[in-house]
Amino acid sequence: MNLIDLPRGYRGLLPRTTRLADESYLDFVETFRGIAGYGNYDQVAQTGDEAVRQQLGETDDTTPIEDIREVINALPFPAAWQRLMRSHQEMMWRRTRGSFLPFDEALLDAMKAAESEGPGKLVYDPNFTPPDYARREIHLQPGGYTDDPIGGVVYHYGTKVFYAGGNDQDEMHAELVDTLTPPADGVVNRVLDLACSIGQATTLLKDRFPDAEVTGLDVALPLLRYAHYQAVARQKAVNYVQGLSEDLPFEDGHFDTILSYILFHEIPVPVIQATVKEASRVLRPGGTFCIFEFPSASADMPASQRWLIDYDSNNNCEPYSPGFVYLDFHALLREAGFELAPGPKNSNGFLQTIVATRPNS
Amino acid sequence: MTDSAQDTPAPAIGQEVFGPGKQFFDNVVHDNLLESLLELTAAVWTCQDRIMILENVLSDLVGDNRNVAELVEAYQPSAQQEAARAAARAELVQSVFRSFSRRPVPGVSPAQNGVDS
Ligand SMILES: C[S@@+](CC[C@H](N)C(=O)[O-])C[C@H]1O[C@@H](n2cnc3c(N)ncnc32)[C@H](O)[C@@H]1O
Repeated sequence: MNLIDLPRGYRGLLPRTTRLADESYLDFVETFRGIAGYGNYDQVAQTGDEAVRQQLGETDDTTPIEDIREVINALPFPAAWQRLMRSHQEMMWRRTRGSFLPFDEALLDAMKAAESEGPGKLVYDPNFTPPDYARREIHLQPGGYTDDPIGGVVYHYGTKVFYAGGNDQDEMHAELVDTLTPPADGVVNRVLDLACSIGQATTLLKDRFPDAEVTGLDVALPLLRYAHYQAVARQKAVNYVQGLSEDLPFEDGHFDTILSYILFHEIPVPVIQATVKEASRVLRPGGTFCIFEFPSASADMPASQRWLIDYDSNNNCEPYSPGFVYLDFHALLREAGFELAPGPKNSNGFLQTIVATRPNS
Repeated sequence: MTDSAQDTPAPAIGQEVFGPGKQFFDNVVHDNLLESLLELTAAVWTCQDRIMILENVLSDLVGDNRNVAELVEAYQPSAQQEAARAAARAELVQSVFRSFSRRPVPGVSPAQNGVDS
């Protein structure tokens, strides 16, 4: 089983766009994102925080977000920044999808052919329909995670641009996996990558724990099909399962460790609550739930950061992220019986990291 | 707990990016100008990038009679050439978007204005 025959081949793990002009255009978008998007955000934050101080006085996480939005959105620099962020994000998805769409049949055929091949398995129920909340066009990706049959390759290249070149060969996923905290007793027989998308961390988990059974679970079949096809082509023995984090198809105490990278801010609060309970159920006593996630609000979270999360929610199709940010996530984990410790430092300073351990009873 | 979607038809693909889009300025022309600027810069870069690659290809090819356009499409830049492309691209982005950082922004100290410094 070989990689899908694309006109311009691959660069390492990453498929190349099908035309040079697409690569150049998307390279521009990527470089723009790094310089004018991430690079100019500090100015947006400073000018925004200063205006908020002048107009609203001292603020904390109870200050109505509507008031903060009104002050910062009226400033020209943040307005321009928002415009450019939204526009370049649209450019990224349109061009990425446009590049691979002419090859959709070859892509779908290759993924279909891989379904009956190993070493790992792809498990799904053809009658399963994802719940409506999971079918939003998160981050503006056309068809979202669930509804574009070629969404896997589109997600792969689109997120390459999103990470502004820092994850072309899964470097960022390698950092997650390298810094994952195994149970204190060192026993790792079964590992779950919860909401694994296209399996970038899943295969690396197998590399780190070669003797363990490694499973990636996600709601989105287009992403899992691509993940499985990639795993077959690279002979990685990992299993992928379509399912819901809030209703995990595993026995009690099945896993020794679970990784969850940026799932929780993308699901509604009742689903977050159920997912935490499910994670606790399927972990064995002493097992670790390693969480890398959006920050939780606190009294000292700057107004500009609250504005950024609000911008992202309204204009980058992140409908559920404020629900997560303003939830007392740590309390929720404790209520589900976890003992919490700060997780490893991550080079993405925006993220919080938590190691939630299921106590030995 | 989750709403059942058994009868929900698949949503149209790309409502977010192919729809009417968002407006961030009271005067929508400002939105449009900025978006045009982005597309224009992307187009300029796309041309410049191709030319750079073409030059690389041609210099590799001196004296050879093969199809340059196909070779350009299939070209795999070396790490060094890739770095040169990235540097030139960053320079273009810096120059086109310098206007956003050269004029002082309220609340930002002058030292922090200026991508170039
Ligand atoms: C931001 S992505 C996660 C990134 C991924 N963990 C990685 O390593 O790159 C969020 C993922 O959550 C999945 N998802 C959303 N709701 C879900 C649910 N209820 N159960 C399982 N997966 C879900 C989406 O399909 C998507 O792949």
